[in-house]
Amino acid sequence: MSSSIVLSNNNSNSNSMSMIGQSPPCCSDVPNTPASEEMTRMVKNVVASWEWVPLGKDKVGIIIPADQDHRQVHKSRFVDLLEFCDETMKVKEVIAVFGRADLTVAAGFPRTLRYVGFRVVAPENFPPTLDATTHFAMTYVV
Amino acid sequence: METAMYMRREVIGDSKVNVTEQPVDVLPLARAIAEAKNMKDNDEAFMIINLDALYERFKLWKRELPQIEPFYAVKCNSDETMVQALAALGVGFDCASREEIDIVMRMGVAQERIIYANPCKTRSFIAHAEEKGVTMMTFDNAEELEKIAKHHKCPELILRIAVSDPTATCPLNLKFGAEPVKQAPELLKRAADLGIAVIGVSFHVGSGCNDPSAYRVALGHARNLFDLGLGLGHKMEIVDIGGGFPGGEHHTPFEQIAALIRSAVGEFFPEPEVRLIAEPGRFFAARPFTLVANVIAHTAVPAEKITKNACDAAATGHMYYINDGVYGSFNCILFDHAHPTGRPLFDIEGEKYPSTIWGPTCDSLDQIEDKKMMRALDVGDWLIYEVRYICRSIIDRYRTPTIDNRPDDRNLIARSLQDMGAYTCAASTTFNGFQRPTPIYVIGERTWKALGM
Repeated sequence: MSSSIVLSNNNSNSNSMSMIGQSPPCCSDVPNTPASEEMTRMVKNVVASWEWVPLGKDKVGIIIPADQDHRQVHKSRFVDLLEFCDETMKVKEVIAVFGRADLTVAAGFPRTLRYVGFRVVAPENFPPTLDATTHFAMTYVV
Repeated sequence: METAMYMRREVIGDSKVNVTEQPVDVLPLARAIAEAKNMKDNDEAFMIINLDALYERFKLWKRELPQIEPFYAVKCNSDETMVQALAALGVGFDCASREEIDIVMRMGVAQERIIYANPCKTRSFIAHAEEKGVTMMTFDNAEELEKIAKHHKCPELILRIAVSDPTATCPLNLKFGAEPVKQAPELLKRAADLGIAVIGVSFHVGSGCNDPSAYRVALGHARNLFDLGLGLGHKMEIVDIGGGFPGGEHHTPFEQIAALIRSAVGEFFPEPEVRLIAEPGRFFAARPFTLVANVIAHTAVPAEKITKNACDAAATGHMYYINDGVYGSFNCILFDHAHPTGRPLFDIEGEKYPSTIWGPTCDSLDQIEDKKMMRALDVGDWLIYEVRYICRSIIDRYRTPTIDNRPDDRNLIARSLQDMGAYTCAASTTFNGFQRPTPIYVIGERTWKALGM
């Protein structure tokens, strides 16, 4: 996964996500390292359609479709991913990123994440590469 | 500035607590504080935390469910002064993170009064619990069981089963909890094979439970698993009935839920040696908190823009921006199906206009109230907020699309003004830079003595 990931509010894709090769007003490139490749495998192991991006030095963003059904998320694999972020990626925060289009916060996957310990990120505290007007983010301290 | 309103000041932890001679009356207190702030050109939002209301909730719990020990769910609101007051009352704590364990233990709470109940436990969190001496924790799958066995020397596990009230305001993800008939017995056997102590069974019917019979169903499953666990050699001694207890007025009153629980407990767990615990969050946290926020900007707009009704094109509507929002104290709007209903702090008669209340962030999600009929306000005026958990149908009925067919919002304002604490401060006090309203703790002399602090 070497191209940039653009999160777009206007995309008709259910997860409001597209991958294009130009520099976007959002996320930077995923580095091509063994740890990154393993991270991609861990993310895909939770849900195949999920993506990830580094968000600065000590944060990673997990890009989750707005309409993610919690019943399709394997809990143990999700915990494995959090542990990988902690122990191998050595990040301080894991940020769940959703496109705002079609997102239902109270009834959707964000609510499930809150039970796990994720908290809402206020727009003014978004990582600079992420557009707060088109995304909703929750952060988890590992 | 406010000292004249109080008898004296005491200290709980790092917080000053204002003690009043009479029981706390929040509305006049809020008005007096706002007037004092106006004198100083101070427009910061403030939160009154009425510890009398907290004590009343504790007494209600003890009256209705005396045989069940409350373990307060810290994730609901981690306000340290409230946590310390609850600790003084002998309440235990349900912690979901390292941070929450640290908060509670910093208040002097012994590890025996803590249950670690995060549904997704990472290795480092389990290790942290062990380091702090916290042994009681929940589990609901084999991988978690084996991980705890590997990373904690002496865990005392509580098997969590999935028995949810589908009509609850916020039903829990059924993935959180083992299926009670087939999967849960297998987990008890697996724990026995691994030599790990299972000491009880827990469940959570979901927040804002509307069907208290869910507790009875769950207790029936717990009884079966208790007996099975005893047969496998586990020292089963705890039943954790979880949370879901309403924090304020609710379709199903707490007293009605409690009566059913008492009856079901008597039926399924009559043995006095069984330790019964629960994890109430909003039950304690909702009532004591009252938010008072300031209008920081105002725009007059065609009423049509608010009501979305062309008939209102010639009428006036108002949009107000206040200095707290969904990324602060109103976080409950995003997640909790809450519908805070504010009103001007000071009663002044005046024509009512369709109004929308926004938080301070210019973010499209940061809307606090919409299509509200309210008298005109100026920048610098104050609004007082509670949280009401009322039927969706009632909300819809009151949100009628035209100006003329709308009742006064005060019909929705219930007796109490103190309902702003559940799932609010917990989100607004952490590392994400949310500006927390200035907390003002108040307590009546009688409650202060009862706390014995």
